[in-house]
Amino acid sequence: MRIEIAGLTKTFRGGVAALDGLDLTVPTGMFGLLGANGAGKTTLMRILAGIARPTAGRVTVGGHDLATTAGRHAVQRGLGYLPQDLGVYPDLTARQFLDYVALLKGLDDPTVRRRRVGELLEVVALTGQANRRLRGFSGGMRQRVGIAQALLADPRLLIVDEPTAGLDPEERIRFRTLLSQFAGDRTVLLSTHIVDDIAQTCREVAVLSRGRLAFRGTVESLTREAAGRVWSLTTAGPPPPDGTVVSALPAAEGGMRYRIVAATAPGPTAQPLEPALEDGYLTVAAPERSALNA
Amino acid sequence: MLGPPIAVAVGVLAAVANPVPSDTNTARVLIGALEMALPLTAGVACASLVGRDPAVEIQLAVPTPYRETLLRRTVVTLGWAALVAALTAAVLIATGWWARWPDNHGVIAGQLTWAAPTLALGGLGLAAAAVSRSPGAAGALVTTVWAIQQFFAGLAQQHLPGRMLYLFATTRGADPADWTANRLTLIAVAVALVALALVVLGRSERLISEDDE
Repeated sequence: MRIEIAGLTKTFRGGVAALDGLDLTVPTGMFGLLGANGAGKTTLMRILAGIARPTAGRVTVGGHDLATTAGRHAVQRGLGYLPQDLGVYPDLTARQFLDYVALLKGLDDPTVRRRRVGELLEVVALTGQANRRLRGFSGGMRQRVGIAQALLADPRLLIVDEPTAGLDPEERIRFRTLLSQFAGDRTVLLSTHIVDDIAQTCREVAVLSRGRLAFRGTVESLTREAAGRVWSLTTAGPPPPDGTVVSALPAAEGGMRYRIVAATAPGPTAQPLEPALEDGYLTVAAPERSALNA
Repeated sequence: MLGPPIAVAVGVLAAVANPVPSDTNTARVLIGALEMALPLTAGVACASLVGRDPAVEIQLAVPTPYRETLLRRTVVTLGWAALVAALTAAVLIATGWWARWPDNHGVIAGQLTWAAPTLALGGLGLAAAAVSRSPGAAGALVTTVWAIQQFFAGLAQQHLPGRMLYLFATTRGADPADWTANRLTLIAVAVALVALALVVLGRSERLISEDDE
């Protein structure tokens, strides 16, 4: 399902613009959406899921216009959606919850529904916990229930909003692998502010900043955006005021070793480094900070 | 959910245990419980259907319209109230208490005693919750309307519009001649309020918070 977004604007009460004239095309396959908190990712996800309406602009998903009721329903029939804040019914068991969502998704045949729920419980490794109430589930287990409900109707479009927040490293890896395996000829839109999730799963990525498209391209080209802007600086004093500090490690020789994204060397002893995806993201998402050093 | 039926059952049993043939006061209290307590419970329950759904974002992203789901939940809530009311009324009819209240309006039409105010307050609760997105505010509105009609019964029935919208016309009605019109008016109001709620609930965006961005 190809997603075409043109001039998408969403303004909330009080004139707060969550999206500001966004133009974006999302092809089939895994596609990453990066951005800081408040960049507009969740608003975009909700509009694509048919939950929120744009203030202006046009969105089509697989040729269906989301401005129309028929278009939204057509998209939702082939949609799997994992919201950022997954809410569940705590008194239901995992199996009951999935069965209920399956009904809402139109899986009316009880036999088919039971089989599908069983398969997905197996996929997310919750078969042994299937008859426990969700009230007692950990955050990671709930998230696994969340991805299972999103996959129930074998969706052509899967939208996952910050899916790995709160997961331990092992669960994150399992989750990323699951998404990658699922993608195939489907569209999986992965929204996150965890750069590593994108680096491990997506070929193409877009970066949102303050409701606008700051970058769109391959993961490699996003990394290249930081070429010549990444520095290592060891100092006993505070980090330099200009540029963005990516990491800080105690240096063996004393002081701190900083990894800094800045347009020019942040100090006379600064050494250039090979850029990583995170450096590229910081370069395009926070250009105003880098510009201070230009 | 079990509180109201148990309370009504205990009341009925207590009354049945001490029958006095001319005891219209007890008959009025028993039928009044159907007309007053049950509708209030149903109204507050309907008010809690919107605004507390933890999985609302998933609900809004599935092909089944959320307002359809909420309508089904409303039907279940009101259906439960109706079941409790019908069973209670059956006990009262079987034990003769129903007939002891002179303005009972018969066994069949008399069921509008509880049905009309239950639908009206249920509709009010649902509509108020849909508009305010606050179960607390909606429940408070239902309770306030109910209390005003309880404590200012005379004032509420001084004029025709007030008599048509009065919730307790069977046991506290000023003019028995208005009873049928009153019951039908309450049902019509309930239908209008549910329709309003469904229109408002069709705007799914109102059901989610803007604070997450």
